[in-house]
Amino acid sequence: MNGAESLPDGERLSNLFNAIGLWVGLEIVLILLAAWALIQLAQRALPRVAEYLPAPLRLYTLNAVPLLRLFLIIAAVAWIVPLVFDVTLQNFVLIFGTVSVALGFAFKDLASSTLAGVVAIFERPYRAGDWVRIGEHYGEVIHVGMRAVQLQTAADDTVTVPHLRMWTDNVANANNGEGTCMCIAEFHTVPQDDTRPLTDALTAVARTSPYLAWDRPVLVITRNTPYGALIQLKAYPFELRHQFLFTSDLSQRGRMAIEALGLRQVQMPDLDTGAAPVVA
Amino acid sequence: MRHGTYDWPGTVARRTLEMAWRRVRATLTPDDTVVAIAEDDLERMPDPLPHDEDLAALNAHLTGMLDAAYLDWLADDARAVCACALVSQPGAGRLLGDWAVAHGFETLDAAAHIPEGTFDAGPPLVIPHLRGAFVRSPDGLSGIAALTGRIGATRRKVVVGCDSWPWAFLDQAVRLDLAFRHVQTWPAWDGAALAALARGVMRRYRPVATLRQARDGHDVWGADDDNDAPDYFRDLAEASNGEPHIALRLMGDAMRENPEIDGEGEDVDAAPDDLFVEDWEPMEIPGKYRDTGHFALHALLIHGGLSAGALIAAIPAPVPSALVPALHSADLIEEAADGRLSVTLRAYPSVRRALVAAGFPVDTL
Repeated sequence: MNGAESLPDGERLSNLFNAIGLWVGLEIVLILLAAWALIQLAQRALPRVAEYLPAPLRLYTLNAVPLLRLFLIIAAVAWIVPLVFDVTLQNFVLIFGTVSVALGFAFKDLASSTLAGVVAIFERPYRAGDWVRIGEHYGEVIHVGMRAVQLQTAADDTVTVPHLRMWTDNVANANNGEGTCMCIAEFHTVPQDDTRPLTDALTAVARTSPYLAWDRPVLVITRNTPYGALIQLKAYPFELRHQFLFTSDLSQRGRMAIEALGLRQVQMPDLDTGAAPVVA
Repeated sequence: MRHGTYDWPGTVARRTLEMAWRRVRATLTPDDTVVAIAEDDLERMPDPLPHDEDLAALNAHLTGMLDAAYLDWLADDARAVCACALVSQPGAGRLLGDWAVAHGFETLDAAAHIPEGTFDAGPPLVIPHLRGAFVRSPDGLSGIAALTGRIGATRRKVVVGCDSWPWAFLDQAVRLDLAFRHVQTWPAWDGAALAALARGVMRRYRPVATLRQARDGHDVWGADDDNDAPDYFRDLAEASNGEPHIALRLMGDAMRENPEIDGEGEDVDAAPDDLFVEDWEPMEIPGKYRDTGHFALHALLIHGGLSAGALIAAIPAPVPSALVPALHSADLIEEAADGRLSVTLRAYPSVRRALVAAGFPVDTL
C-alpha cells in the first residue's frame, strides 16, 4: 500500500489539482486564446496564400493546416495540464481513465470522428487540395477539420463528411497529393468499324490540348462491349482544377476526330418512341 | 552544350530573399498600395541600349561558337551523316539562319512545301527554325511529324534550329528528339560573362561613365575591379535566364540618366555622364485577364507567333475580346508587320516565371 492510497478520498482529490489562482487562470485563458488565434490564423491565411501557388505548392501549404492545428492543440494541452493538475503517474491514469469513460459514453461518435481525424492526418487518405470520392460525393478537399472533412463538388456544393466514414467507407483519392489526376474521355463506336486509326487520332487530340501535362503519358484504351467499342482517352491535366475543362476539351475534339475518320458513334435509343439505337 | 544540361543561373541570397518578400507582400496585399520609389527622379535614355553595334558584337561572338560547334563536322565527309538540332531560348532570333547564309549553306523554310528529294545525299542543309511548320491542333501536327520522319532518315547533314518552347511541345507531341542524333543548346551566360559583355557595351557607349545602382548610387562593378561577377550582373543573369540578348534588353530598359538620389542612401558623388540601372522587376499580367492571359502567352511561346485570330482559336474559350489589347498595352506582346503577335523580349523572363508559377508545362534546355 502506497502513500496515496492511504489518503482519504477528499485529500486525494485535492492532491490531483494544483492551486489555481488568478494568475494561473489568466495564463490558461491566454494560452487558449493564443492557440485559438493561431489556429484561426493558420486556417484562414494558409488557404488564402495557397490560392496563389501552383498545384504542388498549394497542396503542401494546405496540408500544413491540419498538422499545424494538431500541433497547436497538443502544445496548448501540454502547457495547460501541468498548470491545472499535479501530474503524476497515478493522476494521469485517473484523469485519462475518467475522461475516456466520459467521452466513450457521452460523445462516442464525436470521439470516434476526432480520432479518425487524427489518424487521417498521418495516414492521409485525403489531404486538403486532394480530389476524393467518399460515397457518392466527389470533390476537392477544402478543409480537414478535427471532426469532419469538407468537399467542394463540381456542382459547387460544400459537403461535410465526418471522419467517422473513414472506418467503414472506401475513400478514392484521384491525385493522392500530386498536382494532377487522370482524366478520361469516353467514346462509343459501332462494333463494325475499325477503331485502330483512332489511337493515333485521339492521342493527337490529347497531345494538343492546352490543358495537358506534357510529362505525363497519354493512353487510348479500347474495350468491346455489347453496344460497340468503348474507347477511353486517358490523359493528365497540368492543373487539378482544370480536370473538368480538360475532359470537356478531350470529349469535344475527340468526337470531331472520330467524325473526321468517318467512324460512327453509338447513340442512345430514343426514349420516347423506344426505337432501336441509332447509328450516327 | 548538350540539351538538357543547361546551367540555369542562380541568384545571390539577398536577391532571392528580396524577391520572395516582394511576392509575399504582393500576395497578402492584392490591392497593392505600397508607393514605389519615385521614378520621376530618373530619366529614361534617349537612345536606349542595346544598339545595333552591341548586338552585332554579341552575335559575332555567338557565330564563333556556331563555327566551333558545326563547321568541322559539316566540312568533313568522313564524319557521320545525321541531323543535329540547336535549341535556343527566345532571343537568339535569326542567328542560325544568318550564320548559314554567311557560310553559303542551303537553307530551308520548314513552313514551306518541302519537295521530294530534299533530304537525299547532298551538301549540308540548315533549317533555321521550325516556326510555322505546325499548329497545336490534331491536324496541325501531320506536317511536322512527316518532316521529323524525313529528317530522321536524312542522307545529308542537317542542322535544325528551334526555340525551346516549340521544342518542348513537339518533343512530347511527335517525339521530335528521336530524329536527331545530337541536340545542343547554348551555354548559360553567368554574371561574369554578362559583366564582360556590359563592359564592352559601356566602352562603346560612354567610356568615361560609371554604371551605378539606381537604388543606392553604388558602382555596379563594386570597389574591386577584379570582381568578375558583381551582384548586379548575377541578378541580371538570373533575370534573363542566362540569355545574353534578353540580358542586354533588360539592362537597356533599366538604364536611367541624371537621377536625383535622396532618402537613406549614402551621398552619391555622381558625374553628369554616369548611368544608373534600376533593379529588375517582373512585369505583371493584367489581373483581370490572368487566367486566359496565361493560356494566350503559352500558345504564343509554343508557336513563336500567331495572328490574333489564330491565337484566339488556340486557347480555351471563352476568350475576352479585350485580351489581346490588354496584353498589348501591358507590353507583354507585340505585333509584327505581318500581323503576327509574339511575346516581347523584355517580357519573356516575366512571362516564363508567371507560367512556371501557374504550373504550366514549360521549356527545357
